Order: sequence, then structure tokens, then C-alpha cells
Amino acid sequence: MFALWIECFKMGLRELWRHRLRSFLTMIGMIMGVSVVIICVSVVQGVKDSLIGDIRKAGKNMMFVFTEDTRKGIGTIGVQVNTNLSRDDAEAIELECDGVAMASGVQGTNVLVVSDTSTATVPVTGADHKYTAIRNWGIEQGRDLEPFDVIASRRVCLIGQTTMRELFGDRNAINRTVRIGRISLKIVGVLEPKGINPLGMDEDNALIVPLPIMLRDIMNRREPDAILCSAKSDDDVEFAVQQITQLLRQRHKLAEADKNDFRVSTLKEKEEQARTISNQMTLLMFFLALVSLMVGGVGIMNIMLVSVTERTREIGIRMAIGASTKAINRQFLIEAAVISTAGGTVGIVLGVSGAAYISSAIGVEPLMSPAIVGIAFLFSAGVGVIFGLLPARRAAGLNPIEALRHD
Amino acid sequence: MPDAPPIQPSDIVSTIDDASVPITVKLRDLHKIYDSGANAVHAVRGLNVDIPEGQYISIMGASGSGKSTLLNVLGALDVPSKGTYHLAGKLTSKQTRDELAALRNEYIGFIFQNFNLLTRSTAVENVELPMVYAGVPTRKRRAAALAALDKVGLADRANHLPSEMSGGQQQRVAIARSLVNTPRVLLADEPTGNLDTHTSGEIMKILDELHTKDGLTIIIVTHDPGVAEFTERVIVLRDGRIIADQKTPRCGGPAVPDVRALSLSVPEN
Ligand SMILES: Nc1ncnc2c1ncn2[C@@H]1O[C@H](COP(=O)(O)OP(=O)(O)OP(=O)(O)O)[C@@H](O)[C@H]1O
Ligand SMILES: [Mg+2]
Repeated sequence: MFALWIECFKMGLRELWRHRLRSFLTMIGMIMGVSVVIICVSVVQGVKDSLIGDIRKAGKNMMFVFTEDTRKGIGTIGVQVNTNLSRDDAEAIELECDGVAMASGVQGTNVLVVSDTSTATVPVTGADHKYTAIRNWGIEQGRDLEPFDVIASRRVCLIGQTTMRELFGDRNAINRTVRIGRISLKIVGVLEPKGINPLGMDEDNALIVPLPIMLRDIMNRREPDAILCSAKSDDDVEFAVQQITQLLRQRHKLAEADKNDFRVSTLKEKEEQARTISNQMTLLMFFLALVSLMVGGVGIMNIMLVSVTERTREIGIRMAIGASTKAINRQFLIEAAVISTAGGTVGIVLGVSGAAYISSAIGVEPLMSPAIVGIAFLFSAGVGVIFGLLPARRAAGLNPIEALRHD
Repeated sequence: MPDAPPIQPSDIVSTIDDASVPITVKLRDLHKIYDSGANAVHAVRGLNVDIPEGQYISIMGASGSGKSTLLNVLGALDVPSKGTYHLAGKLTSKQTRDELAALRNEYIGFIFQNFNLLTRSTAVENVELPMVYAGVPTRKRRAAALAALDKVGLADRANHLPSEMSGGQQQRVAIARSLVNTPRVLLADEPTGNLDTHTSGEIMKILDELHTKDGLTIIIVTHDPGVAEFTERVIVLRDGRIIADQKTPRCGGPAVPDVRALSLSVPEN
């Protein structure tokens, strides 16, 4: 019986080759479907992975606490910028929440920074000495901020790679000074390169100053807008968020019914978002591909029906010399499966090379799992079998005598 | 080929008068009605025939008398509308489609007037085909197919397509194909109908040998009294009924009737 399978397969291949152009045209639907799935899935997954990698790179188990305006009816016209958070909150979070390893108040703004030779608008961040540790950001040259810098409001700063290049060109920036308004800051450290973040911003365009300097001297305000924290471990993030929420509600003396006057967000959330979006995209692609495979399948069914009609006499001859209905059925099923898997295989090859090309063009590593390739292959074979069922049944159901008499 | 002496039937090795030979084909009140919508055609009307194993028999009759219809039923290609057909003791109407297919594959060999070869397959592939459906392994198949082609004198044409062969050669390929599964019954529907006298003679010689040497039961439909004379017994049909069932001259019977004359005469029963 195994011999019959092989024979059917050979007959299928031969028939395919005999009608090369027709087979190829029939296969296009399959080729498109399969290659599009592979390209989309691997590129989207690749983008997701690089996105998540970027998010992870942004900092270790990072959490942000932002102030949130809960008062109603008050516009944001006032000069005084209100914040519900304080440096004491940051300190309390670090001390009292055991899920939290470090916390630092942070305040950022874009200001004009002037060096001895040029000027640039730079996102300046005020933070304390734990900032680089929370962000998982190394110092390439010089030193980090120290507790004393913050306590004593020393006029020092750390500079990012891009900012350094803009302000100093190829010169070494260490121990040089930059000016923000009337304040001169000494550059004590150069940050390691960090690259572009998922939002497309250049992380290396940065200047880090002690928080008191930022608040008092640059922005003229009392407390920071945000607190940056890091959880002790990845698993602690959710727990830490809860603790922070509880602690801040207590410290801010919020009643049971009151809404939070702050918002805690985590990178894990962002990661989940990236994951959800890319999975949704993958699903969408999958459905599009499914439609395309269906169209391909209908094409195969159509051509197989034509083939059965064309070869009615051949079928009659085969039956006359003893082919069972099963054998005829199998012959046409396999033939349909051969067309569709041939299309699927071409689609896989196109898909894999297309994914590699597109990925390299947009600068991500394509995620090509053998599972996807295997599934695509099985799917295309399955499409052939499913859409071959009807034509094969029609062939097998022919009356031998009538089929023989057909011309 | 130079003019060969006319081919003659071989000496009689007939079992026609031996009553102890088992019956291979047994028909009782066999009818076939083609019911194509409004006008039904009653092609075969109540045949009762016994054909013993190993008999060489011809079926004659005017065009439209139901010969092909009968042969198709005998070959399990078609089913009777009424009556019974026992093949080797088995009632064919009790069998499923696939059992009939297996019967055609193993027990029956069929030869057609128009050869019915697969036009896009070579001679040897055509001959292999019945073995494909019998589940014979590839290598054995090829050897057996080549041997069968050799037997009909076509060893050198094994890899030719039917379109590259003469009618006689194509019919010999068809004979080789009908024989590869060593059937017990060989059915031929006007096997020489499309061939000239000389080529017909060659085909008849092969069939004659199959009968005498291999003891095959051979049933052959023909218009040609010359062909019928090779056989042992002749059945004549008219309008789906048997009007004559007799021995051929070589077995001591009367002369084979002329079909055209018969179709004009009044049926005897
Ligand atoms: N498929 C069919 N549908 C309807 N009628 C049919 C069919 N096949 C045969 N017939 C009719 O049955 C009758 C017997 O046909 P059959 O083919 O058996 O004749 P035959 O003796 O073989 O004739 P010939 O010598 O011309 O081959 C004819 O009247 C024919 O028209
Ligand atoms: Mg006929």
C-alpha cells in the first residue's frame, strides 16, 4: 500500500510538471499567503523583541511615580507649578517599601545649555546620586554624582555622548563647564552611550544635574514632578507598585473615596503593551494570510476540478484496470497537496529571505522560528488536502463506464 | 514484413464438450436498461449463459445488439439492471465498488477496441499500471512489465508513448497490460476492429496462444466471422437477445453466421 502512496506522489509531481504554467499560476495564492505570514510574523516578532530589549535596557525594573492633578475646575494657567510629590516621598518609598531598592525624585526640562564654543537645547534631568544606578547607566569617564553633590547642591553635572559632541565637538568635556542661564556647572562625568529609546528619542542627548540645582536654580520650584524607582527584582515590580501606592496614599492623607493624586507606571506595563500590540498585529497578519491561503485553496480546488474533467477518460481507464475509489481519491488529493505544498515551499523560501531583507532594512533581528516554517508547511499541505477533497471525491465517484466513454 | 502464410487457428485443445469443467461465468435472466431520462434503452433482455473455465468464446451481432453492454457487465465495469451474474461462483451484485475494482484488477483482463492506453505514459508505464493498483513493489513491477511487453514482442518499444506506436503495437501494449496481473478471464471488445487484416491476425495469434498455453477464459466481441473462427463457441445477439449459441466449425459446429445477414433475418426464438 505504501507503493501506492509513492506512486500517487510521483504522478502528482509529473502532472504538476506537465502543466508548469498552470501549476505556477495556481500556486501564486499559496506562495503569497505563506510568504506574507512568514515575513509578517518574523518581522513583527523581531520588532517586538528589539522593542522589549530597548525597554529592558532603559533601566532595571523601573517604576515611575508621576504627580496627577485631581482637583477639578482649576486650570493649568497659574505660574506656580503644583506637584503632589516630594523628595520626602522618594525617601520614604526607598526606606519603607521593601519591594523597592532605590528611589530618586526626578525633574526634567528642556533648556538652553551653553559651552565655551556652542549652545544647544538639551533635555536636562535633575536627580540624585542613585539615578544612574536605577537607569542602569554606566559612567564612561570621570565619576558619577555622589550623595554630597546632592546634599550640598554642588554645581556639577553628568553629560551624555550626543550632548557632549554638540557642545564640545571632539574635545574632552571632563572638568569643563557649561552654563544654564546664569549657573555654571562643572562636568564631572561622561555617561556611556545608551542609544535610541523605544519612543525614538536619543537617550544620549542628556545632562544630569543634582536635583536641588534643577528645582531651585533652574526651574524655581520646590518639589519634583516625578519619582523614579527600581524594584528589587523583576518579580517584585507589581508588589512594589502596590506598596508605593499604599504608602503614598497614606502620606498624602487621602480618604478611602479619594482618587490617587499620583500615578505609578512601570516598564513592565510598557513591555506588556509592546507585546500586546505586536501580538495583535501578528494575529491580524495571520488572518490576512488565512484569507490569502483560502483564496489559494479555492484556486487549487478550481484547477483540480478542471483537471478531473479533463482527465475523465484517464480516470475511467484507471478504474477499468482495477483502481479502487480510494486509489483515485488519493491520487487527486495528493496531487492537490503537492501543488499546495510546492506553493508553500516556495512561499517559505520567499518568506524567509523577504523577512531577512526587510528586517535588515529596518534594522531589527528577524525572529525566525522553525515552528513558524513548520506550521506554514503543514498549513499549505492542509489547504491542498482540504480543497482537494471535493475534486478528489468527484473523480473517485465517477462511473467507470461513463468515464471510459468520455472524450 | 514479407507476406507471411495466412495465420491459422492452432490445433483444437478444446474442453468444450467436457461437462466437468467448472463454470466461470453464469448469467441468469440478465437485463440492462439504460435509463437516460425520457427514453429508456433496453440494451440486454434476459440472457442466460454459462461459460466454463478456459473456454474461448466469441460474441457477435449487429451494431447496437448489446454486445458491448454485455461485455461491460461481464467485466464488472457496469452492473446489470436485473438478473444475476456469478463470476467464479461469486454473485457480483453483492460486491462493493472496491471489491469489483479488485476483481477487475486481479481476475479480469480487458482489451478495448480503441486500446484505452494512458496517452501520456510510456508503454512500460501503461503495462505497470495494474500492478500499481495491486500493490506490487516498484522494482518487481518494472521487471514484470518488461517481461509482458517482451511476450507480445514489444520489448524494444518499452519507453515509447502510445502516440509513437502503430495501432497494432498499441493493442499489443494493451494486451500486455491486461495480462500482467495474470487474470483468469480475458475480455476483448472488438480488439481488431481498428486494425488491418494482417495486424488482426497477429493479435488473434497472441490470444490463441493465451487460450491454448495458459488456459485463459477468453470472451471476444467481434463483427468479423474470421475472428470468430479462431474461437470455440459463438453467441449471436440481436436486440439484446441470444439468437444463436453454437460451436464454431473448428469444434465441429456449423459455419459462423454472417452478422449482416442475421440482422435482417427473423429471430429464431
Ligand atoms: N450509455 C448508454 N446510454 C444509453 N443507451 C446506451 C448506452 N450505451 C449503449 N446504449 C444503447 O444500448 C444498445 C446496445 O449498445 P451496445 O453498445 O451494447 O451495442 P454493440 O452491440 O456493442 O454495438 P457496436 O457493434 O456498434 O459496438 C444500443 O441501442 C445503444 O444505443
Ligand atoms: Mg460495441
